[in-house]
Amino acid sequence: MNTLTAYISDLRLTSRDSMSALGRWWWSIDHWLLYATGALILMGIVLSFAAGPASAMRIGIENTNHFIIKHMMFIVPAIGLMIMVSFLTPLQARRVGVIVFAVMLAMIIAALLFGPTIKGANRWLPLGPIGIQPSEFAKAGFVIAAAWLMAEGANAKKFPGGLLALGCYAMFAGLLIAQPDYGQWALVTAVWAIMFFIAGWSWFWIIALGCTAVGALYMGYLYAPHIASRIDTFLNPASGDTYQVDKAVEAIRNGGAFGHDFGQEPGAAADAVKYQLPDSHTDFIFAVAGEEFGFFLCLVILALYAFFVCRAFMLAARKQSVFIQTAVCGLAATIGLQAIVNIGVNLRVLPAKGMTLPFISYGGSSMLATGLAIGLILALTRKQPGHMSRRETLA
Amino acid sequence: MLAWLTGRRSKSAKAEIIFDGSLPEMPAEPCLPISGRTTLVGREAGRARQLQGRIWLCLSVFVLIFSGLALRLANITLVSPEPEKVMVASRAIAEPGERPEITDRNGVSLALNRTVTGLAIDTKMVWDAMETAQGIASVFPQYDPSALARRIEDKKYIILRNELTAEEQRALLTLGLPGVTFPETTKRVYPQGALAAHAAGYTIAGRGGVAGLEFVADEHAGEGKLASSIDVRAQQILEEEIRAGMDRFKVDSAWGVIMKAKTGEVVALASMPSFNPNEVNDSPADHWRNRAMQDRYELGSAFKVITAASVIEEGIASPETLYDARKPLKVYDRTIYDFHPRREIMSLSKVVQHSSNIGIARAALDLGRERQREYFAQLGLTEAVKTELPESRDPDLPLRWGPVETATISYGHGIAVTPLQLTAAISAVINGGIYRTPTFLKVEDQTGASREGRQVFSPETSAKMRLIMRQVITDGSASRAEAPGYYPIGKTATADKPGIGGYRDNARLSSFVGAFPGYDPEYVILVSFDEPHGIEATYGYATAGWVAAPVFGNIVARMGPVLGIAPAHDDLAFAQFMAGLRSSEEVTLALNDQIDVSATASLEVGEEMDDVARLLAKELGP
Repeated sequence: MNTLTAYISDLRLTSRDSMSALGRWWWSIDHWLLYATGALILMGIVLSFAAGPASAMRIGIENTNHFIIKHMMFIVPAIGLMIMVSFLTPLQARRVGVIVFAVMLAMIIAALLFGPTIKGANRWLPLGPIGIQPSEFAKAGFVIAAAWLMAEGANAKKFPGGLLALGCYAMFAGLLIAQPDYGQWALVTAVWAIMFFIAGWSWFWIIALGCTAVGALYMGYLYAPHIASRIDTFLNPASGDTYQVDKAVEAIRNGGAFGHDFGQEPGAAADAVKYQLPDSHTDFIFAVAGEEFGFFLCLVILALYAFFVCRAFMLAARKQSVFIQTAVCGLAATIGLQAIVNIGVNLRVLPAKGMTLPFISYGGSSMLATGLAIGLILALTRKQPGHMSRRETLA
Repeated sequence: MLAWLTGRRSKSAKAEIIFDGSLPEMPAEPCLPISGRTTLVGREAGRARQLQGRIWLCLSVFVLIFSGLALRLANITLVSPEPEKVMVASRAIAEPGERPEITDRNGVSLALNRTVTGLAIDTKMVWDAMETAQGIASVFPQYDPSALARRIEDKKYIILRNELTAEEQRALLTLGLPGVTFPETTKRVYPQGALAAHAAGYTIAGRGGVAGLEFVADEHAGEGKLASSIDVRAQQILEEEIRAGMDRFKVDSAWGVIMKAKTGEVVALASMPSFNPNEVNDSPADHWRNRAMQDRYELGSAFKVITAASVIEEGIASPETLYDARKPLKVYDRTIYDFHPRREIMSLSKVVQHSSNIGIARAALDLGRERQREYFAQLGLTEAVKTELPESRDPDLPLRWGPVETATISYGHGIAVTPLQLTAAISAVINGGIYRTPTFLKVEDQTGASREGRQVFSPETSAKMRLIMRQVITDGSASRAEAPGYYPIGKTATADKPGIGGYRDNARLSSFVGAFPGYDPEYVILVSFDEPHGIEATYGYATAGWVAAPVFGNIVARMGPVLGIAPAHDDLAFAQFMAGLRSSEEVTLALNDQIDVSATASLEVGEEMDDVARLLAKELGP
């Protein structure tokens, strides 16, 4: 026993001392974030086994394992991308982020002009055999670019960082509305507001922008009757087709505390609500988790996202650079808000909006983009490595 | 480029605003108070510390939101009970063999049992796995002989096919393979296919009937045939006409209900898109949903009929009472407009005919919230309709039922009910005032007297409403609903669809609810089209008068002859319309109001009038 402990401590020492690239990475990366991410990925794989066959059956795909296999095919490159990105120094991360933002904006425009119209929106850009959704990737790039500009604006009075960040936002928001993708637009707006707040803009600016937004809404409410009725109905979500959300709540309720046991009989299993849920493998996977595994697993999923966001925010609070703080908080807020909106819709506390559950929902673009975002968080929250120049750490 | 990506210092990267040795100018007014450092790096670190508070604030908000979601999750899964599931679990399920045949009201089969022969291999009996496999592969080329042989060696019992044709069975028998067996099983078949699919429902192995009449069939195991109220002829007409309307106005979903006015029997029920119960899994789950019973919709102006009947019954107004619809009506913070403003003072009858929101809202405000609610409750609009079928949905009533809601509900805004629910309520308005819960089982006594019912309106009120609703077609918004000889009555209903975050522009629900023959209604019909698109022939209009009303008219014109309702002569129809009214005084009033029930021409005073008077005298007695 003693020898084993000695061996392990020896191993730790050597790997810490040796400072190979991998060793440096392992000892500077935040392990808690890594564990939480790993747990989420595992959860996604387990749930793909629950939701995948039901979805495949509903859509009429012969191979019931279709979505499970595709899930695996996407999650591996997503993990790879995440780890590669997490090797970057903060300076490199900033550059990568800005480049990604610029390239993805161009691709969104290309998708708007040349992309196919799917379900009434132009969100997809076909690239050879696969289609990608550039707006998913653009989110992470947008956070980095806006954080950079805000930080520069906060540091150097002469530099109009705030205005430029607002410009970035306006450009991205405009493109999202043109698609149209109101869910992503709302998400990006919320993330931008959180970053603006964190970047340390004076309360004067925060209140001024807040008042402008509220004022615009109020004027709309007063003078445009259709906006008024929209807001009224939003506050009192009346009738109409709430089939999906009702089914989701029914599924979650079915699960109870420990999940619904449908047994081995295929007929009985076919009665599960998940077979009646359109999009059970993407937007309503949380409902499937609730039906299959019950309250406690859902609580674990919620706790994992909450833990991830809190951990990232806490690490950000300790950092010495406005850019890193703003960027990490923005990226964590993106992940957290996406989870909140998705779960909120499943629990019928938010109006239905298509939003994926990061790393759990099926979807190639969403998974890779989540890999990019978490990779950037990992890269920016690494412990300040002594060998790096101050310039590279952006401290 | 590579150097830039990897972060090595290069000349072009000078623009980076990182401490590079030289001190920049001090900002004149820093955004945040700065702790006493002087270098840029020191200042930034100081600022970064300042931001910690804000980060913690954001973090707390996130924690709060996540906790809120966790509470909601606990509330759904642990606290709120699930009554439906308990009920289903304790239900007795009919064995496949004793599941009764389901027929329509005339004995036409909707669902029956058929014995089918399958193909299985009892591997213990097999002599030569490869020979057996090759033999089966010679009849079913889709099986790979070597793979099948391996399965035969591994498994004890293999079920290969659930259903064989006689030829296939013969071919296999002639091969004389030991171990190849032909197990017989009972299969549920639906001879009408997709016709009346939602009413018939379907079964799931191990769970019995889970939808439609199949659910009811479990309770009637071993009792012989189960006669439903459905009439396949009416069903066929309803589905064909709805499909034609859907094609014409490029509609994705639509639904319709036909009910017997006197007994409450549902004669036909359609929900589009539909499915084939023989192959349930070939259609998406969305198609299995019975939109007429499981979905609730804001159905709009059809509610005006209910409001009008209520004020007449309460004696607050008569069909001739005048309402001011010259200007939009302001009720607290809400202003009520008319869709086609006529800007005039009009009688209650005209208010319904021309579908004036302002006029009917005024009438509803006279009625008041309490009485309005009471009538809605009496008409079964405040709670889910309980038929024999498992499909049902709670109505969506306003959270706060104040004066504004009273006004908007009077024309069907802000209340969502199932289409079947509204059909039953309208039936009570026109059938002499008796509400009967809809039923899907055949009722022998066609007067309806054997079924429990409640008198909501007096027969006189009902007669007045029939006249008003007749004028909607002869003289109002629904001239295209006319079916000569059947004197249909009804009301158009065009409703803006509520979407996420508000009512949607140009997303409408076009409905028509009516009955025929108008003077003594036998059948109540509702048809709705979800998001119709205007076409050239309708001048781009997609309102109920253009979309749903003609479909209703076609259904009446086709149903009448098939179901043995003879077209009536004008005079007789007129006399019957008048017969329900209480006194000759009211008849005179109605006549003075130029009632034109014949729709062929306005009544001329003169000889025709004498005929009418004679007929009336006969009807009303001395």
